[in-house]
Amino acid sequence: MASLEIDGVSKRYGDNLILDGVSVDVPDGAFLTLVGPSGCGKSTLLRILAGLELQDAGSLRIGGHEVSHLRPSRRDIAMVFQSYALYPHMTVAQNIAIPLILRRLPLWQRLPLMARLLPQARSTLARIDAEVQAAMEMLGLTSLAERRPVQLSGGQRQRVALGRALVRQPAVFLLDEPLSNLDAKLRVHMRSEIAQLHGRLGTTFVYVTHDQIEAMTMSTHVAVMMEGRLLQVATPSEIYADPADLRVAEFIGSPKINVLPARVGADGTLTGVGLPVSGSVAAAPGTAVQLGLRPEHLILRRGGGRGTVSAIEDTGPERFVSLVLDASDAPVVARVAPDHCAGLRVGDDVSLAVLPGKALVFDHAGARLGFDHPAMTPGEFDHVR
Amino acid sequence: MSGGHRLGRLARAVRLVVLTIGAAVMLAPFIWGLAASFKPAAEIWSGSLRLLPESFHGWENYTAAFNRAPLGRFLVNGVIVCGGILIFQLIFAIPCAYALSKHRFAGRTVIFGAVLIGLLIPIHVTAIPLYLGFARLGLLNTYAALIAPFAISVFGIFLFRQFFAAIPDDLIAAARVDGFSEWAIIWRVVVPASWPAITAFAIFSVTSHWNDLFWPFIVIQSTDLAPPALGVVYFRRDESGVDFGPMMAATVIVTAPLVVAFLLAQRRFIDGITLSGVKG
Ligand SMILES: Nc1ncnc2c1ncn2[C@@H]1O[C@H](COP(=O)(O)OP(=O)(O)O)[C@@H](O)[C@H]1O
Ligand SMILES: [Mg+2]
Repeated sequence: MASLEIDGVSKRYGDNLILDGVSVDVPDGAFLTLVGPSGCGKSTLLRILAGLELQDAGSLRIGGHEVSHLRPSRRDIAMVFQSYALYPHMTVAQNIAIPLILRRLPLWQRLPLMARLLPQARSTLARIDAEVQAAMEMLGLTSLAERRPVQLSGGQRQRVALGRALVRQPAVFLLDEPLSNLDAKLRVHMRSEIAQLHGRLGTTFVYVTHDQIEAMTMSTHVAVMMEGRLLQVATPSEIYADPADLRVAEFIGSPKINVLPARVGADGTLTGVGLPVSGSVAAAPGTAVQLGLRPEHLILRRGGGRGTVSAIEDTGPERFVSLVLDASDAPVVARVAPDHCAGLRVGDDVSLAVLPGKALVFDHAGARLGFDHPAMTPGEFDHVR
Repeated sequence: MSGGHRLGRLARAVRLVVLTIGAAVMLAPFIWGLAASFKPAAEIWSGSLRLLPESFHGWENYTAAFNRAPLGRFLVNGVIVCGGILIFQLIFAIPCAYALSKHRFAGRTVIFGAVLIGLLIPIHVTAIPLYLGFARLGLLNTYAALIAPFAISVFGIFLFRQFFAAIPDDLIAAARVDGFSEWAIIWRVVVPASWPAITAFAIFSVTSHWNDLFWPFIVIQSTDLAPPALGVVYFRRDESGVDFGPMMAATVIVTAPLVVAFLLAQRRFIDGITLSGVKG
C-alpha cells in the first residue's frame, strides 16, 4: 500500500511529444482512472509507471520513494495487460505462482532438482502454493488450475491475469484497459468485480481506460487525459458536475454535452443563445464564450416557438429529444422522462429552459469561466418536473 | 450443386496425380538406391529396370559396408559435428534474434541489414579464407574446423527474429514486471513459445550439415573425423573399382537417421515453416 506521486513526467517518441508534463498525486488506497481517447498517451504513462519505458523528464514516487531508477520488478507494482499476456506454456497455477517463485527462491533453488531436495526451498514452495490456491479461490479459478491459457475463455484469462497481479500483494496495481477484450455483459460484471477487489485489498490502483462509464463507476479519482496532458484530476462527480475544461465536459457524459455559442452582454448576462439563461459571467462584455448544457439539465416545454423537434430516441427509461434552435441553428439534445414528452412528435414546436445553476460557461479556448446565477425561485419549475 | 462437387473432386484427383508424380520423381533415386543395396553387382549392371532383386544380396552388401569402412565412426562423427553445430547456432542465434526483435538500440537496423547480407553469401565464397585461417591456427583436420565456421547462422538469426517478432510485446513486458531477467525471458518465456521454429531450424541445420560434403572435403583428411557424407566418398575411393551394392548399403545407413528424425519431427517442422502456433 502506498501513495503515488507523478511529477512533471514528459516523454517523446522521435519528434512526437507523447506526454507533456503530467503531474498527479493520489493518496494510499486510491482508485485512479486515467481516461481519454485512444492514442492520448495513457498506456505510455502506465508503462513509465511500471518501469517498462523511461521518461525523458519528471519523477515518480511510490509511497514517498523515488522509483524512476528502479527496474520494473523492483518497483513493487503489478500490472494487468490488455492482452492478458499469460505465459502460454504454463498452467493457470504456474502463471499465478511465477512472480512469487521468481521473488522468493534464489536462482539455484529454482533448478528442478534443488526444489525437491532442499527443505528450505520445499517449504517456500509450499507457502507459495498456499497463496496461489487462495488467490485462485478468490477469483473462482480453482477448477481451472491445470489448464493452459489457450483452453480458457476471455473472462477466465482476465481472472488469471488479475490473480498473477494480486498474489504479489504489490504497493500499486496497474491495469491497462483490462476489460476491453471482453463482451459487453462480462465487462459490466468484471467492472464490479474489480471495484470490489479494490475495496477488499485497499491497495492503490491505477486503471487505464477509454471508457467513461468505467472511469465514472469504479474510481475514487478520475484523471482526464488528452494529447499527452492531464486536463483535470478530480472525483467522478466533480469531473461531471464541475469540469475544468470544455474537452472534459465533452468527453464525459452520454449523450454528449450541448455546446452553444454565446456572447457576454453588458451586465455579464449571456446573449445570443436562443433560450433564457439567467446568471452573470466573469468576463468582459462582448467576449465570445461557449455555453455547455447537459441534456438532463434542459427543460422542454411544448409551444413557445424557440425550436423544432428533429428526432426522438426512446431508450425505455428516458428519451433523447433532438431539436434545432431557431435562434442559432445549433442542434441540441434534451434528456426527458417519457411522461414529460408523451405525444411529442418530430416537427413539433417547443421551447427550452435551463435548470438554474446548471449552465457551464467556457471561454473560446475551452477553459471554464466563473458563472454566478441567482437562487432558484420556489415553484418556478413545478409544472415541468 | 452436384456438378460443382464433381468438379471439386476432379480438381482434387488432378492435384493428387501431379503431387504423386512429383513425389515419385523426387523419390526415384532413393528408391533405386535402396533397391540396389539389396542386389548383387551383376544385377545392378544388368540394365533392366527391376525394382525387386532377383537374388537377395542384402545381407552380403550390408555386412560388406560395415566391414570395409568404419560406418559407425562416420555416424558418430555426424552426431558430434551436427550436434555441436546446432547447439552453438542456437546459443548464438536465439539471444541475437531476441535483441533484434524486442530491443530498441542504436545500430539495430544496420545489424539486421548485415544479417540479411550474410544470408546472400554462400560458404563457397568464404571457404578459402576460412581454410587459410584454420591452416594458420593449426586446426585443420579437427572437429573444431568442422563446427566453428557454422556456429553462427545468419539464417537462424533471421528465422528466429521473424518468429519472435510475432510474440506479443506485452508478454515480454509482463515477464519483466514479474521479475524474469532478460536471459530468463529468452530461455524461459521466448524459447518455450518458439518450439516450432526451433524444431524447423534444427532440421534445416542438421540435414544440411549431415549431408555436407563440400566443407569436410576441404578440411578433413583423416577417416576418423569424417562425417557421413565424406565417409561414403572414402568408402568409394578405398575400393579398387566401384562396388555399388555395398556402397548403396552404406548410403542407406547414412541417410536413415535423418529420415527417421524427420518423420518424428514432421509436425513441428511444418508448424514452424508456417510460423504459426505462438499465440496463446
Ligand atoms: N514505442 C513507441 N514508439 C513510437 N511511438 C509510440 C510508441 N508507443 C506509443 N507510441 C505513440 O504514442 C502515442 C500514445 O500511445 P499510447 O500511450 O499507447 O496511447 P493510449 O494508450 O492512450 O491509446 C500514440 O500516438 C502512439 O502511436
Ligand atoms: Mg493504450
